[in-house]
Amino acid sequence: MIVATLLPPEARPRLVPYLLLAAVAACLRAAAALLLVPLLGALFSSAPREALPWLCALAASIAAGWALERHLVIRAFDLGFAMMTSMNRRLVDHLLAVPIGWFGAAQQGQAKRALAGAVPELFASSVNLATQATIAVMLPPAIGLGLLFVAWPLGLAALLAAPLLFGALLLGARLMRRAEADYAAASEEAAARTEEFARSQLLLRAAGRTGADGTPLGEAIASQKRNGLRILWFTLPGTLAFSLAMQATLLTLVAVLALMFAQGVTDGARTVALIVVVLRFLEPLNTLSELFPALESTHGAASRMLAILDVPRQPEPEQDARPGPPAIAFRDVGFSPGGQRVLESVSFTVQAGSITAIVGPSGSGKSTILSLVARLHDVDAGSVQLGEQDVRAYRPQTLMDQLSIVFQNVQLFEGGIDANIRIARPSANEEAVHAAAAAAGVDEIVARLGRWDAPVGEGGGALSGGERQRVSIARALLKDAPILLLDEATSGLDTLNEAAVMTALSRFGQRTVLIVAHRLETIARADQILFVEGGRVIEAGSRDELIAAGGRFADYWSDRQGARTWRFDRDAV
Amino acid sequence: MAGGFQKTMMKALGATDHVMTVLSVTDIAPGFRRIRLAAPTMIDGRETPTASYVRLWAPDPIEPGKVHQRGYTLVDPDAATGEVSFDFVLHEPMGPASGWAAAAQRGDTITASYYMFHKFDPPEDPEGYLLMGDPAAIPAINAILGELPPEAQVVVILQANLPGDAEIPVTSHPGAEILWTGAGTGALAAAVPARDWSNWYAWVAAENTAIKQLRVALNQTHGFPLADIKHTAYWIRGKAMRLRKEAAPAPEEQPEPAVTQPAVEAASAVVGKAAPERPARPRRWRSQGGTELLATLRWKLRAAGVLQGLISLMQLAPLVLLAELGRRLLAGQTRWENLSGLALWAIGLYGAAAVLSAALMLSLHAVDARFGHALRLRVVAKLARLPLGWFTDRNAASVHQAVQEDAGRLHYMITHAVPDVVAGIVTPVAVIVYLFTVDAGLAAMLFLPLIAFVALFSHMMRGVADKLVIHADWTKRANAAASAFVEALPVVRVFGGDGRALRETLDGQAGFLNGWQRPMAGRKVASQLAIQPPAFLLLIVATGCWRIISGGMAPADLLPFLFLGAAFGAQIMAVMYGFVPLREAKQAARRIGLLLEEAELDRSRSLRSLPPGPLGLRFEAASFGYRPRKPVLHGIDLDLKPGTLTALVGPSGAGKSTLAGLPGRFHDVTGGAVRIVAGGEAIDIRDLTPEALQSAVGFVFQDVRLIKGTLRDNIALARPGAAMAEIEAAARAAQIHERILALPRGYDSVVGEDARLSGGEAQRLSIARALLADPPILVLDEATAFVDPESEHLVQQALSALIGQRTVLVVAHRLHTITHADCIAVMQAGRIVQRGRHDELLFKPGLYRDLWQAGAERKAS
Repeated sequence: MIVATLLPPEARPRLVPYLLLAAVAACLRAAAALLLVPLLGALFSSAPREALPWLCALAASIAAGWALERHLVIRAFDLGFAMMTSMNRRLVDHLLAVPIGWFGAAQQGQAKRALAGAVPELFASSVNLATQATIAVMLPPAIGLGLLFVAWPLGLAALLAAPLLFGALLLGARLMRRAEADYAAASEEAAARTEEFARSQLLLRAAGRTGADGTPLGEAIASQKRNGLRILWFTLPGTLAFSLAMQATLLTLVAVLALMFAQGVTDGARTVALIVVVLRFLEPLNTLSELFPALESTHGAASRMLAILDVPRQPEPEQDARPGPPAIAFRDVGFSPGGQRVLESVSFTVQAGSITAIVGPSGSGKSTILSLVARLHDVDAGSVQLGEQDVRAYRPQTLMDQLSIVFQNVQLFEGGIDANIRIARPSANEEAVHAAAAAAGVDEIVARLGRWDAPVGEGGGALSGGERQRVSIARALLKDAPILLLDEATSGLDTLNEAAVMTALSRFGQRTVLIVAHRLETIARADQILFVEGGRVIEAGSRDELIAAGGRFADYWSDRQGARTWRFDRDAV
Repeated sequence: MAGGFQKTMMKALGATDHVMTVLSVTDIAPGFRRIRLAAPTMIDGRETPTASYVRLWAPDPIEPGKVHQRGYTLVDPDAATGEVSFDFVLHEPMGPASGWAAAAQRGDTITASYYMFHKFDPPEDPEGYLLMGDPAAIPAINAILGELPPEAQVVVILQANLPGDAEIPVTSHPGAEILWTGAGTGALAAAVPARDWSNWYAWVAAENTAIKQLRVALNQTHGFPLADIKHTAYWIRGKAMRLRKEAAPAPEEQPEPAVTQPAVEAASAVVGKAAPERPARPRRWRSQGGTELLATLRWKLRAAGVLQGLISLMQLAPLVLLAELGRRLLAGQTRWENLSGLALWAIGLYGAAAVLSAALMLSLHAVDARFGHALRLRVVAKLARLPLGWFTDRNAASVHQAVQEDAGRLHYMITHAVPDVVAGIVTPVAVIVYLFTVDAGLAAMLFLPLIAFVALFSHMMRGVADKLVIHADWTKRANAAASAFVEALPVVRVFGGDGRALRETLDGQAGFLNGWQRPMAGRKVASQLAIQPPAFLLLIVATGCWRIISGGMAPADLLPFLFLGAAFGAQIMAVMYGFVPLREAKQAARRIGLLLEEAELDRSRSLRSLPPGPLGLRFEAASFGYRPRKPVLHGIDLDLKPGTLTALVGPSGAGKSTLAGLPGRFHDVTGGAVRIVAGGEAIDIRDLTPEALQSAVGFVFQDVRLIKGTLRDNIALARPGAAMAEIEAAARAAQIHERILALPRGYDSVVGEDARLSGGEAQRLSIARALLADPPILVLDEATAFVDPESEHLVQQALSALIGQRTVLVVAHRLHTITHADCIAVMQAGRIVQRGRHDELLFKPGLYRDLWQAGAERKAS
C-alpha cells in the first residue's frame, strides 16, 4: 500500500494500531447513529423519559469518539512527521546517487517539486486529512453492519449500496479529472501557440502574417473551443454520477423501510429513527466527496515523490579501486542516451602531466567527453579510464577526489562568494581561499560587490556567466586535484575570464588537463588537440602536426584566424 | 478598557507582543519627533514592505495598566541591527502615544504588535500617484515618496489639522506637487483638484469617516475605479482610538460644518492653480478593462446563480418532505395513500433537480467555450496591434499569464465557482430559515457549535500571524535550497558534497512545523469536531429530549432537525472556501483587461506605399522615452544615404538598440520623426502602410526566432511563394545550404523535430530569410557573431553577403568590425556625441578614441 511505502520502516508497525483505532472511532460514530433508534423510539413513545438512559449512552459514545479522534489526529501527526523527515532524507540520498545524466530540465523541475512541495503537502495531509478521511471511509460499512442487528433488510441494502456509492464517487472523480486534463491540454496548446505568436511578432509582421487564420495558432484556438464543449461528455456524467447514486440509495433505503413498515416489521417511531440512521449512513460520503480534491492532490504528491525514488541509482562498485598516475584514456567509447548517438568509438589518451584540448563544431559532443570522465553519465560501449582504472571501479568520492572541474554553465549556491569557493576544500584557510580567488580574477568581482561574503543571488544570478566561471575556476584552483576538466565558456567572455583560464592552465599544466577549448590562445597552449566532429575524434595530434596535415583542424584554424580580423565591408564579398 | 479589549482581540487574531527599547530621541522639526528603538524580535529580517505599519500599545497617561493602540509606520527598519524608528507628531494636549513620545527617554520601553501589512503595491506604471492623508499618514507618505521613481508624477494632498502641521517635513520628490488643506472631515474629499485623473493610482490614509467620503468623491466625482484606490483608516472619530498623534480632542468634538467650510475654501484656493483644466477626453482607467470583460458575462452568470439557487432548494425539498412523512408516521398514519403523494413528490423533485442541474452545466460550458474563444481571439488580435517594442521578456510573461493561467481561472469561475458559491450560500440559509419556522428556540441552538468553533479557532490562531510569516519564510528557504541543490547537483557531486545545506534547511523546516503544529493539532481537531455532525446531533437530541420531556415541544418537530440540522456546520464551512476562486477570477479578469488595454500602434495615418528604387533612412530630431519625462533618446539626427553602412557604437545603455528599433516602429518616436528617403521625398514611417514599411526595412538581431515548421517555410517566411531555386540561393549565400542538405529530410526537416540547429546555424538561417525578403534597408545587431565561436566565420560570410548594396544600420559591439563603415555614430546617454569615419574619429580626442584604446589595452593584457 502506498502509505506504507511512504513511511520509514521503523514507523510502519505504527500504521496498524492507527488503523485499528480509526476503526474503533468509526464504530463509535456508528454506535452514536444506531443509538438513535432506541432513543427516538422511546422519545416518540408515550414515555419519553425512557429516552434518557439512551441519551446518556449517545453522549458517552460521542464523547469517547471525540477523545479517540483527537488522539488519532496526534498519532497521524507523528506518523506524518516521521514520513516527512525520513522522506526528506531518502530523497536527498537518492538524488545524490542518480546518474547526473537523468537531470534534464523537466526532471530538475520534478525533483525540486518533490523536495520542496510534495513532502510538506503530504505532511499537511496526514495532519489535516488522514483521520477524517479514514473514518469517513470506514463509517458507512460500520453503520451498515450495525443495521444488520437492528433491521437486517435495511442493513443488507446499505451494505450492498456502499460499494456502489464508493464506485460512483471514484468514477465521477475520474471522469472529471479526464475532462479537466483534456481541457487543460487544449488550453495549453492554445496558450503555447499564442505565446509563440507574441514572441515571433517581429518575424511574423515582417512576413506580413498578422492574423491567426490558417496558422497553427488559429487551429489551436479553434480546437480549444471544440474541446471546451467536448469535455461536457465527461463532465456531465462526472458530476451527476455521484449525486444520482446518493439519491438513488436514499430512495431505495427509504423504500426498504416503507416495505418493512407496510409489513408491520417496524412501527412509525422506529421507521422515522431508521430514516435518520440512513441519513447518517450517507453523510460520510458527502464528506469524502468534499475531501476528494484534496485527497487526489495528496495522491499526486505521493506519486511524484515515489517516481523520484524509482529512478535507478548509478551502480557503485563493491570494492573501491586505487587510482594510479593521473592519466585519462578513452577506449572505443560509445554513448547514446535515449537511443540518440552522441559519441561513437572514441579513443584517445591524455598523458599524465599534459594538456589536451578538445576542439570542434558546436554540438559535436565535446562537453559530453568531459562529463564521461567525471562519470556524470555511464558509457554505453567501451570504457573510460582514469588513473589506469575504469571510472566505474571507483567509489564516487574517490573518483571526484581526482578531479577539479569547471563546467560551462556554472551554478553557484545561494551564499557568499567566499563560501562558494570554499566548498572545494572546506578545510582551507582564508589565505588559501583568497589566493585562489585572486588567481582566478575573482578579487575583481569582490571589489565590485564590496565584500567577500556578498551574496551571489539564486543560482549565482547576481554574477555574469563569465564571472560565475571565474568563481568556478577559483574553486578548481583551491581544490588542487591531480586532473583538471575545464569547459571554456563561449558567452560573456572577457579578458579577465581569459586570464583566469590561462592561470588555471599554467597551474595545472604540470598535472593533467582536459579542456574543451574555443579560443585560439587556449588551443595553442595544448600539447595535444582532439578535433571532434559528429561524435567522433577525427583528428588528434599537436597543433603544428595537425596544421601541417591540412585536415579539418587546419581549416578550422584558418577560419578562426580569419574571423578575428573580419569586418563589415561591402567589398569583402 | 477599550485598549485592553482591543489588545485581547488582536491577540486572539494572532498578534504577538514585541518589546522595543528607546535608543535615541530626535526632534527633526518643531512638534515632529523621531524615536529610534531597538526592536530585535520585531525587526528580525522578515519582510517589511514600504509603508507597512505596526500597532503600538501606548500607556494611558492617567490610568496605569490601560493601553491604547495606535498604528505607526515603520521608518528605516534595519534588519542587521534590529532597529526601527517611528515618527510622532507632538501637539498639546497630548494623547497617550504623543504623550509617551514627548516624555520618552533612552531606555524606555513600549510594546508593539504586527497586525497587518499595509503594503504599497500600485499597479504597474500608473499615469501618476495621488497620495492623500492627514498628519498621521505623513510617515507612510514619506516612505512611499522615497520609493517612487524620480520621473513619476505625484500629487500629495495633506491635511493640516493644527497650525503647526504644515511644518512637518515631507520627503522631497522631483515630480511631487504638495498641497495642504485645512481641518475637517470633508476637507480631503473637497481638496481633490478637478482634472483628468485617468490611470492614476490613489493611496489615501486618514480618519475613518474622512476616508469614506474621500473614496466616494474619488470614485464618483473623479472617476477612480475603487480598485485603483488604496485606502486605510488610521483612526476613527469618536472612538477611544482618537486622533493618532493625539491632537486635541477639540477637532473631533467641534461641530463639523464650522470647521469644514473654510477648510474647503482654503483647499480649493490652493488647488485652483494645480490643475485648472477640465478633462478633455473621457476618463478611463486601464483597470476598467477587466470589469468590462466580465460585464458581458454578468447576466448569464446571474441567471445561472438563480437557477442554481432553485436547484439547491429542489435538492433540499425531499428532505423536508421526508420529515413531513415522518411526522405523519408518528401521527399514526399507516395508509399508503396518505404517504405515497409525499414520496412521489420527493422522487419527482430529485429527478427535476438532476435534469436542471445537467442543463445548467451544459449551458455554462457552452457560455464558457464561446467566451474563452472570443477572449483568445481578442488577445491575438491585440498582440498583432501592439508596437514591436512591447514584446519584451517581461511582457511575454504577461501574455503567458493571461492566456494560460488567467484564462483557466475564468474557465473555473464560469463553469464551477459561481454555482458552487450559490449552492454553498442557499443551502444553509434555506435550512436554517426552515428550521426557525419549525422551532425557533432549537434552531437558535444550532449556532452554539459555530460559536464554539470560532472561539476554539481563534484560541488556536493565537500567535499565528507571526508563525505564518516564519512559515512562509521556511517555505521560501526550502524552495530556494531545493532549487540550489538540484541545479548545483553536478558541482555538489564533484566536491563530495552531501547536500548538507539542503538537509539542514529541510530539517529546520520540519523542526519548525513540528514545534508549531504539534501543540496546535489537538486544538485544531477540537475546533473541527465542534462543527461536525456528531456535535450537532448530540445538541439536537439532548435539547429535544429536554424540550419534549418537559412538554415544550411536539416530538414530530424534532424530525426536521434530525434530517436537516446535523450537516449545518459542514455546509457553513463550505461557503468560506467558495469565494476564493471568485476573487481569483476577478483578479485574472483585471490582468487580462490590462493586457487588452495596452496602448496600440497608431496606424490611423499609415496609408502610403513606397516607390521602387534605393532607399535612405533619416532620423530627424528623433526623441523617445518609455515613460513620459524619462527620455531614452534625445533629438537624434542621423542621415543614412542609400547604399551606405552606418555603425552605432557606445557603452551599453547608451540607447543604441532602442534607436535601431525605431525604423521598424518597435516604438513610435515621442518627438521628431524617422523618415524613409525615396527618390527626393522623405516620408515619415508612420505614414507608410505596415506592408510598405515591413518590406522596406529588415532586421537581423541576435535573438533568432525560428517558427515551428520546415526549414523551407522558415526561410520563405516573408515570401511564401518563393521558388525553391530562390530559397536555395539564399541559403547558399547564407552558408547554410550544405548544413540543411546534411539533415535527413533536407529543406523539409522540421525545426525542433529533426532539425536541431546551433546558435550560429540558426543565425545563418535567419540571414537566408533576410536575403530572400530582400529589404532595401537593413538593421543588424553585430553581437550575432558571439554566440557560436566555431561557426563565427560562416556567420560573418553570410553577413557580408547580406549587406550587398543595401542601406545598413549596424549596432556594433566590437569596434574592429566597423572600421570600414561609411559613418560611425558614437552614442552616449541617448545622444550622438561623435560621428565620422574610423580614421577621423581615431585622431580626435573623445569617446570613440577612449573606447578603441580600452579595447586595444584589453587585447594586449
